[in-house]
Amino acid sequence: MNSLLSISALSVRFPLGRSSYSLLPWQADRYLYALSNLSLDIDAGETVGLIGQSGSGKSTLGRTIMGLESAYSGSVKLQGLELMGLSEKNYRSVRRKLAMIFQDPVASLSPRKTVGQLVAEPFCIHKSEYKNLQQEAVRLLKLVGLDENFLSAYPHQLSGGQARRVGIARALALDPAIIIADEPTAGLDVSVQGEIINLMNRLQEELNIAYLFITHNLSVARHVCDRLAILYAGSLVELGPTDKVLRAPAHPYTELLLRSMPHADPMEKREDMHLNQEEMSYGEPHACVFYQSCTYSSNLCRDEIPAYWAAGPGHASKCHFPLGQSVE
Amino acid sequence: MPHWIHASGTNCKLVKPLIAHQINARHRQRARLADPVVWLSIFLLGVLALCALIALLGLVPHDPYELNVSNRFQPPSWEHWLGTDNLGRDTFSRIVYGSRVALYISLVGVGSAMCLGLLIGTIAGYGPRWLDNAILFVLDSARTFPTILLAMIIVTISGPSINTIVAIVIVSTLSGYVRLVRTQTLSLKNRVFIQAERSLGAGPIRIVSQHVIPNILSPLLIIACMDIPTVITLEAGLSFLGLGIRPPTASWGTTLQDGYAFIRNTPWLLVAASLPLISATLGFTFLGEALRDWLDPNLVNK
Amino acid sequence: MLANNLDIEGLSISFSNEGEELMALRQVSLSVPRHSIVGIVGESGCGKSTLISSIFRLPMENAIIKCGRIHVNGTDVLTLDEEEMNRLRGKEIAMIFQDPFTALNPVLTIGSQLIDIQYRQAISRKEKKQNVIAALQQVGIDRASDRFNQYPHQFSGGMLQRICIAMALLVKPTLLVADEPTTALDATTELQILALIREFHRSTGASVLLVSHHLSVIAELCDRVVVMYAGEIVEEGLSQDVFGAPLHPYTNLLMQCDPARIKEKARHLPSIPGTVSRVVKTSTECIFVHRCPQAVSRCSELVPETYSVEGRTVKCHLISNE
Repeated sequence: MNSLLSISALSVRFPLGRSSYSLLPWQADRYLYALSNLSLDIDAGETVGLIGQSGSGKSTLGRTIMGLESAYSGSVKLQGLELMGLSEKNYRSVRRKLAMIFQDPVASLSPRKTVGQLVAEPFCIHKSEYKNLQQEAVRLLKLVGLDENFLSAYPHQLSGGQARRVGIARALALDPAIIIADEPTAGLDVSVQGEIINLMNRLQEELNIAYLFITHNLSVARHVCDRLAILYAGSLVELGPTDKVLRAPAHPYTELLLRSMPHADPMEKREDMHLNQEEMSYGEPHACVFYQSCTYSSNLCRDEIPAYWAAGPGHASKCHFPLGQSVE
Repeated sequence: MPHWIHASGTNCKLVKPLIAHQINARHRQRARLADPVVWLSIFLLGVLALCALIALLGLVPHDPYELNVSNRFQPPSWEHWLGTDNLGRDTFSRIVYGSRVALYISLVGVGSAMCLGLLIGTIAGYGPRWLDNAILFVLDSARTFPTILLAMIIVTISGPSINTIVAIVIVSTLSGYVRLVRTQTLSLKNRVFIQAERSLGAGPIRIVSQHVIPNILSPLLIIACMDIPTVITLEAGLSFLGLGIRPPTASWGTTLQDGYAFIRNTPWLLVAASLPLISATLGFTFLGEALRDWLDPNLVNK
Repeated sequence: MLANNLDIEGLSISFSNEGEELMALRQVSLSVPRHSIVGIVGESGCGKSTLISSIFRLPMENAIIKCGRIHVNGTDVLTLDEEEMNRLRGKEIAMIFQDPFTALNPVLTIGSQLIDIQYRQAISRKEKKQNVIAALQQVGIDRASDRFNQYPHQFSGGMLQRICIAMALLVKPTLLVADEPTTALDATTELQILALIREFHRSTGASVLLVSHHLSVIAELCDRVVVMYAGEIVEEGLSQDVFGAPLHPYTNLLMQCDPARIKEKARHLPSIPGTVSRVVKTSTECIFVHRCPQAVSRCSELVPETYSVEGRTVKCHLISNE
């Protein structure tokens, strides 16, 4: 399988405990496992949605792929090239193919630089063949639907939607093959959400860009993503084509998420799920991550990490008792 | 008709927000220039710069080193605008010459301390933890020495001169600048836009020089401006104690010392030396305040 | 007994900004009846922050209150001085903020903050602590006595918002204003917080003014709904009427843009083109005319009246034709 981005058995952990004011390195005895044993493939030109709540590790995955966090174990391959363990220098050339759009659009732009400087910056960083930077900046702004006048604006002068577009323009500068979009519609009004989504879709069609669409908003993901990957407490609990996952979820957590999605008729009330994701996974997980909150759990779930069970072609769920499985 | 003025027929829905800010920027500029604090600081500092210029060109009415002992302790008159000192030298000319010393020490001293502070502080803040700890250790140790003691040690090593004072200024103010820069760098390091730059592949040098420093420059400049009057007064104090400028070089500090020693003979020396100190202090303080209003609200006002 | 906890009549607020006057609120009138939950739907730029700040008389730089009255339990807060207003705040009116992470003092334990909020009550510290534990349990925080001594950064967003609701419970206001309480939270946490607010309303009998730009949040909770756009109220009425059969074109478009409502998977999502205008001088046209798909010539010539239709109000020319 020739995937564009291939993540396998990725684990990321953060050390816990206080560090002392000393010149010596210290060893942590407790770790917070933000991601455990995660595997995911993304093909060229497709949009994979990474759905999870806050604390599930979805932003950590995006940042690990971009090299902003280091992984404890596992591998991330971009077009066959292994990214984990790559030196900072070599990573820089990889970053031409990999771009990220951040959650807070205004905060992700350097406050003392103008939009023109920010959009042209990727070219300066990578010292690409000396193009006319001004022209390139204008071309990129037009691509995202912004006027030339924005070249001299500062980030704090932009609205959320405009800043989001500038972020997209920067990401597009070096013709990336894949863009990691961290909550691209968060904080946007419903009336302008559609514009950004449409823009991203159009760019995908024109430039064959793949997206890793990180969000907790299933309503939006439903329309944008080809496949959905559901993340809970650092583990991928379900992965499959969007309509299959939404119509016939195989994992109890997915079922729970679907029930908390706003209905088409706003007057219909959602049921309250008593979901408690307050306890983070300290230490390497030895059981199903969803064990404590699952309504179908049993002792097996507490003792063993479940294996992936195939619910259909390209549709897998990490559960001992997946939904829809006939009882043997 | 919509409320906005259309500009050159470009797509008005995109132009609207921008024009508002261009108008606001012009308003802000006008407001800045109308502020009396700004004018006062420009005036006071202008006078100081003028003095230094006059001294450089040697346009003073009298030679500041010319002795005329029979004419000493004269009160201000048409010939000697601020009177004469204990050796009959024209006080006014000496004060004007003293401005060179003051400006040299403040600009070179504070300027170097600021640049060094910027360099060391960003390394401490952005670099590895062990380096940060090491730098802080050295600085905190240096800071435990009282300034006067430090001054005496340095003077003993290199003898009293103007560059000694510059060295004392740098050593005593450096730690403050490094801490300021380091704290600002640390808080910026984890901000989203720095991570965005890293994700684009920017190296640490680019990030620090293009994205960290421009954002910490304004508090640093303001502190530096507020420090200049302190430094000028420090020079006056050190010279007064005999640790700095030695006679016959003209400086505000030496004139102050003479004024104190000969207060029974004439009060005018003391007055003459205090005047430039006060006006320079006020001038730089106002400049610092004007800068603070000028530089920071750009980030706050939308 | 007063019929309404909150009565805003004809409120108009402008901001003077470097030579020009930005009219943030224009002739806003709404009421919150006793024991009811009223929602305000509005996107960025609609003036809801200004409205809330004016109810609480929070300092707003350069704000000029041009006209109008705000009656909280019968008292016009615009006529009160700071001291009198302070007696009202945290006693009769309370607020829950959008960002739970910055709503609490980061250097004090939540326990000490919750005890502190009861400063007006003349009871012993021990009793206050008991109240706090009870309130924390009521909002669903487990092991309340242990977590009493923890700091805000040790809690998640959802838990912090619960703590803020606990604060409101301790204060026992007659009107609770919730400013986008679930915008920063995930969908499942959002449900829990909304359920809590509903429970709060039911147990204390306080009325709630809920502000949000999520239609589903308003529809879940509110009896009556007010739709704001660019400083004006464009539609108002019972939730089921406004959402079931929206009369104003803006409400209609908002409903259409909500991705949850779009049943079929669509690559192309609808949006409302254009941006919210900033009103700088009195105009003679409908505020929504530049973005309205149903605009007629009359809409750019005359400001529409607020028409009453079957217990609702709508500010649109198209209604008068019927």
